[in-house]
Amino acid sequence: MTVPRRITKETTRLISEPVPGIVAVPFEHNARYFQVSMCGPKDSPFEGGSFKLELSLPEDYPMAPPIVRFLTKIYHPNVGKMGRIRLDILKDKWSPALQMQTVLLSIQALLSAPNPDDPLQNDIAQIWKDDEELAIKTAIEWTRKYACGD
Amino acid sequence: KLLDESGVQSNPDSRSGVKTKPPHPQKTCGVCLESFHTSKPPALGCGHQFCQRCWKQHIEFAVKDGMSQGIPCMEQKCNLLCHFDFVRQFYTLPQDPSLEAAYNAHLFRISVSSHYQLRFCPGVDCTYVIYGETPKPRKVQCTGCKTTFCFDCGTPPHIPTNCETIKKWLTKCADDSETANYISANTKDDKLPSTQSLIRETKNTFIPDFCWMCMGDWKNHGNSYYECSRYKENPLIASTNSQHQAREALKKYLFYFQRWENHNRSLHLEAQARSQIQQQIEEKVNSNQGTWIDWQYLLRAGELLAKCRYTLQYTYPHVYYAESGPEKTLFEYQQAQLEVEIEGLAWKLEHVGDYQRGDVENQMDVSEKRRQTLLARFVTA
Repeated sequence: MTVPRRITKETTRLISEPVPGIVAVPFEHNARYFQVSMCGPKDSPFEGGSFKLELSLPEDYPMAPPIVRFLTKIYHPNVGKMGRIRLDILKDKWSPALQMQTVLLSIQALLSAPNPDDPLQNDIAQIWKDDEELAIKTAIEWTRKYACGD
Repeated sequence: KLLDESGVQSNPDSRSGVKTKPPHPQKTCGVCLESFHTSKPPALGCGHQFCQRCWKQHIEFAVKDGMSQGIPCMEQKCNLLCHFDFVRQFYTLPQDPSLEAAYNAHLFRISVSSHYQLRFCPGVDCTYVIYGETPKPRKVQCTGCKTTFCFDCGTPPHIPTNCETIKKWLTKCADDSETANYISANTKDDKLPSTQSLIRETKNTFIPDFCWMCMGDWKNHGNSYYECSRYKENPLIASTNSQHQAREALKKYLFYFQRWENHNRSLHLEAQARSQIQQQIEEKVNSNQGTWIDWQYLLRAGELLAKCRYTLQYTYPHVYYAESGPEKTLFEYQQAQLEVEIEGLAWKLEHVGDYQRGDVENQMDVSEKRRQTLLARFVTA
C-alpha cells in the first residue's frame, strides 16, 4: 500500500522541525501509526510528566481525522478511562487543513486548560468543578505515579 | 454576519473581490501539500483555495460519511458550506452518477428535516413526507403506510399529554418499569393474592362483580362515585421523613404506571377481540340473523372502543405530571367519567348477546362525547 505524499511530507516535517515537548515517531512497518510522547505543559498539574500517546491515520486521512489515544493513565476530565480524548477537532470540527502537528498541539493545550463542562468522565469533571484544589492535587499525584516512570 | 454563521455564502460580488488578488503562479494546497498551477483554483466565497483533487476527495468523503449538515469549507474554523453549484462542478467532471445521486439524496433529506412544515413519516421503510400547515403537536396519519404519529415530535400520538411530558414519561417507564416488575414480583401485596385466589377458587360459584383496577367491590363504583383513576395523595406526606416520601413517590408512580399498562394490555386484547367480531358477524349473517349491514355497528363499536381507550391511556402521564389545582381536579373528573363509559362499552361489546343494538350505539355515543369533552381543551390550545 502506498502512502500519500501528504503523510510523507508531514512525517518529514515532524522529525525535522519538532515542536518543543512533543516527539512523534512513525512505526517501522506502518507509516500511518505513530508513537507520541508529550511533556506535561508548564504551570499545569501535568508538569514534569511524560505522557505516551498513540496516533493512527485512517484510510481517508486527511478527509477524516486522525485517531489519538493516551496510553499513559492521566487524571483529566476530557480523557476517558481507555485514553480516549474528547476534543472537537478530533470529531465534528475536523478540517482537512489541520495537520498532525496542530492536533498534538491542541491536545497539549487541552492539558493546560481542562474543560469540565464538556467532559468524558463525569465524576472527574464534577470534582474539578466542585473542588478544583482536590482535583489538581489528584492530577499531580497521578502524574507522579504514572507519568514519571523512567 | 448572520449569513456567515449559518454557513451561507454572502453577496457574490464580495467573493469576486477576494478572488481578484493577483493569483500566485504557483501555490501549495493546504491539504495535500502539493503545489498546483492554476490561475483560478476552486474556492468558496471565503476565498480559501485548495486544489481540484482535494476538493473532490473532500466532497466524496463528506457524502459517503452521511453529510449531516452540509459540506463545510476545508479550511479550519471556516463555517462556510459548499453550495449546490460548487459541489456540482466536481461530480460533472468526470461524470460520477453515484456521487450525484447520493449527494442529491442527502440534500433532499437535509432540506426536508430542516423545513418547519415538513416531516418524514416515521413508519418503517416509508418514504412519504408529511406536510403540515402549522408545526404544532397533533395527530397525523401517513397516507402511504397508515402510521399515525405526533406531527411535532414524531412519536405515536399522545394527546392530551404534551410532547415534553410524554417523553419524560416514556423515559421514566423505560428506566423504572424493571423496578415496578421487581416490586410486584418480590413484595407481597395484601390485597392482590387473596382476590386472585378468590377468583380462581370460585370459578363455578357466584362471585360479586369487582373492579379490575382496584380489586374492590364494583357496587361502590356507581356512575357518580367512580374514583379509581384518581390517585389520593397522603396529605401528611410533607411532614414525614424522606424514606416515607420516597416510598410515597414510588407508590404514586406505580399507581399511574399500572393504569397505563392495564389500558395498554386491554388495547391488545381488544384488538384480538375485534378480529373475532368479524367472524361472529359472518356466522350471524350465514345463520340468517340479520344482514351484514345490520351488524356493522359492532365493528364500529370495536374501533371506537380502541380509540377511546388509547386516549384514556395517554391521560395518565398527563395527570402524573400535572400540578394539583382546580384544573387537575376537573381533568381527573372528566377522566373518571370517560373511564366509566369505556368500561361500560367494553362490557357491552363482550356480552353482545345481552344487549340491544340501541344500547350499544347509545353507549358509543356517550363514550365519544366524553372523549371529546376531555380533549376539547387540548385540541384548541
